[in-house]
Amino acid sequence: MTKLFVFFAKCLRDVFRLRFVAIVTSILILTLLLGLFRQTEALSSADHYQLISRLRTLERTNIVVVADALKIRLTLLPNYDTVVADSQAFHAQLGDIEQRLSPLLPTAHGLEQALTELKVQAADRDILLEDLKSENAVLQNSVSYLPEAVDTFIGQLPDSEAGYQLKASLNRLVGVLLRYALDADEETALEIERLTVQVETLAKDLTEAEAAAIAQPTVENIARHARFVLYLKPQVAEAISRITHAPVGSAIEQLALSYEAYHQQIAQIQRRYQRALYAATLLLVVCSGYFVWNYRNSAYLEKINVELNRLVDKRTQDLNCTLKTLKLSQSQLVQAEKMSALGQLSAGVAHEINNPINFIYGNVTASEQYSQDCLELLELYSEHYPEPTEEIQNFLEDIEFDFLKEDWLNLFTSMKTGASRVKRIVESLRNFSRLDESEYKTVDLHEGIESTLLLLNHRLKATDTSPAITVLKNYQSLPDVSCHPGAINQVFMNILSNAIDAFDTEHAEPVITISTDVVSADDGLTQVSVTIADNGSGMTDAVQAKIFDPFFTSKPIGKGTGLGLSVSYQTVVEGHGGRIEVTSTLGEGSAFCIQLPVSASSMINRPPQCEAAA
Amino acid sequence: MSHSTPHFSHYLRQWPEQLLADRSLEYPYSSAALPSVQASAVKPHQEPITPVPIAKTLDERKVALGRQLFHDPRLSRNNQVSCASCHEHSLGGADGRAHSIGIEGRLVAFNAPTVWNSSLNFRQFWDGRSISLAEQVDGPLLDPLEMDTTWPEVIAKLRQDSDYANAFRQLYAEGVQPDAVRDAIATYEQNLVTPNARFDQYLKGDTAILSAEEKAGYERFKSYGCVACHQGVNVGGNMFQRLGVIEDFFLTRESIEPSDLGRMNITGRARDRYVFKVPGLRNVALTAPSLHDGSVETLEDTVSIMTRYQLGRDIPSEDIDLIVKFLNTLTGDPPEAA
Repeated sequence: MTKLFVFFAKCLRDVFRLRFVAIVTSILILTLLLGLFRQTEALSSADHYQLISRLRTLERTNIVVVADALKIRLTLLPNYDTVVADSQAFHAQLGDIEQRLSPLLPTAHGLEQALTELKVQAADRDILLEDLKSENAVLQNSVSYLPEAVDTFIGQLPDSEAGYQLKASLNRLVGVLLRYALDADEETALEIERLTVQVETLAKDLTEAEAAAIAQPTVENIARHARFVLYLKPQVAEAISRITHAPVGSAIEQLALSYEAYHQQIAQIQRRYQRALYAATLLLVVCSGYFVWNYRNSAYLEKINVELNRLVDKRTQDLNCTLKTLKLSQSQLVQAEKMSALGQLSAGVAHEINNPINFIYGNVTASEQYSQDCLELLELYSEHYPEPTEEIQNFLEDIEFDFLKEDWLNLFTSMKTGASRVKRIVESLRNFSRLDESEYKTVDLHEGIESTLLLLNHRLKATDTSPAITVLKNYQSLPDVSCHPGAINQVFMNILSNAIDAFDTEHAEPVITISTDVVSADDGLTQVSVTIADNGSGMTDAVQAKIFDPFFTSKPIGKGTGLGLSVSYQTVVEGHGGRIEVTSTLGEGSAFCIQLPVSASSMINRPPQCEAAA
Repeated sequence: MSHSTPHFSHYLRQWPEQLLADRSLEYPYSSAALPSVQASAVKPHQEPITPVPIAKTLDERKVALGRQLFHDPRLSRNNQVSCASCHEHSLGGADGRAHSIGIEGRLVAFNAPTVWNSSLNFRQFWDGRSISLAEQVDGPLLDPLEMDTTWPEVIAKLRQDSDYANAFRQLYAEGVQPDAVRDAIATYEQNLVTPNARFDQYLKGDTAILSAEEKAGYERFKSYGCVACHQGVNVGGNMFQRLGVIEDFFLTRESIEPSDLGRMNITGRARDRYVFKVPGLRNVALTAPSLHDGSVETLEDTVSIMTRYQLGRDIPSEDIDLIVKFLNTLTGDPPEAA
């Protein structure tokens, strides 16, 4: 799960980097989702059903109250306590419903209206109920009293005609009244009125004595009660009628309907919110899916990109390597061609020069011998004829015979020296360019250095513009080294040549120091080191870094090919498994140190190695 | 009945159990409560008067707090008048005066009704303007003639008393607030019922406890029709009626006070002129004088006036005596010692 989360976090991070709008949109969507979710929770289902059940209970209680009113009329109730209790229960339930509905009222106007209507109707019904209770009590009292009163009254009537008539009227009155008490109607009311008036009139007909004999109740009493019944009965009937027809029940129903409608509305809105919530969630999922897919694609693309870059780098590296190799090969080829040409040339020259030199040397030796013989002859003559003639003496003075005698042998010596020197140079030349010798030979390196120095002798001599270059040799005892002598000599030649070139004409004391030594190498093999140092102009670090590169030269065009040191490097490092290092300080001089293993190692003939790309 | 409302029995079938179990909204005597009716050997459910029930279990701490408040004169402006000043325990929960004396000796318009069994009345005050005991507290408290104070004053004084502050904090979430004070006083008043009157014991089955005259008095009470209005558990107190049903009671008065107009002051209807709440007759032997203005001293006079003006009858004095004897049996055990 955390992986997924990290993954998503990375997605979002990338999205954020790339699309600000997208992140704002997703925040908005999330806020919307949260809002929608809370909206769907707004209306609690439990509260709704509780409210519905309370409304049902209220309806029922309402019916009970109305039933109580009827029971009052039918004298089914012993007292008004149950009516009061039921009415109070109705009001308590109504108050509870009002409390439950009050938070909804601000948004549901139909509901508020229905509730207000119900409360008004309930209040009106209350008043009716109280009126009913009050009036009914009196009506019942009068109705129950009247028959008794009439009986008592009749009992006291005299047995006269007036008395009899009064009795009859009263009985009729009571009968009609009782009927009326049960079921009031217009006709009966009129009848009662008529009878009452009749009774009153008849009572006046009684004699004073008869009237005095009658104790309570009096006719006034009876008439009054009769009129009370007449008046109250319709009142009570109306009260009952209005209570039973009171629109309290329909007001409750209206309230329930309003509430249902409101709830439907809310539920609908809620459903809409729910749908919106689903849609938004779906949208978010699709968006997320799209972003994930996008991210995966871009990650893949990036991966491919990285891979391609890597391949390109590798290819470039390979190509660089190949280029380097080719350059080296080219330099080597050029060098090889040059060396071959040089070798052929020197071989030719050596051979051509060798012959004349040989017979010059031979003839000079013979001439020396002949001249010594002639001189001996002249000595014999001067011994045998000690008095030379004047002519001879003059001639001897002219030719400076004493000097001639000395110089003549010197001449021969010098000729011999010259010839032998030429021979030596030819020898060195051949020695130097031993191209025919491509296999390894165990040679003394000092010999090679000497040969090289001899070849460079003319350059070491002083000229008009520059002083002579001093060569200091610091040779230790070196074992013979198994190497490719020609190539090694070429190396010495290149370095020494460069050293000589490093001295400019103003240099006061140009010195080249050649030191040789034996060192033990890291891998156990004995190595020899040859260090050629000069106190010339030195090199900058930039030049030092590139000095072994093929075709790199600090000399003007035409003067240097830039191949010398590169070939030397190849020879020493790859040809012999040695090392060549340069140290230089600008203005003070340079030193080249060549280390060669004494014995041939497995490093011979190794193909050129490309350094690993940085 | 509304034509679209289903038959009553429909609901009986439809009810889930929890609705039946919801008794929290029910007045104890409601027929809406299924199905019990108090059973008694004397068939009291057929008698118009029922015995006073034992006070239902109330929170003792609230009752104590209410008791303290009821007797606390700090509920008046000058700290001299308490509820108990007009509703004294030793005077049957009233003050024995025709008109009560309020703050600084001011004369109140009405005869103080008894606080005993006041929880059994369906309204409070003679004109029935309060629907509950809690609501009634505002009447005397804010009346310039009675306690002449304001709620902020009262609350401030109560808050200064640490005992009250602690008690209110413990019992009411809102602390010392008007609603809490009303509730505490109302709870105390609910405790002030007077059960075990001799007549109640008679109703419960002890037929020997009443004398023959007292029983005869009860029969007269019923037959003359007094019981039409003075019925129920409090022998009255559950309906309104005009003082002077058959005859005009106020006809001979020199002047009609505003207090005489009764419920017309509340409803404004002409038919409510002289209409009052029917007072309960329990402990009536202790709470003389009678009527809203305390104009009748003795029970005999009261009975006589009632029969004339309310019943339109002239009854013999023997019957008046019997009825008075009956009325004396309505005196119950005084509530709590204090």
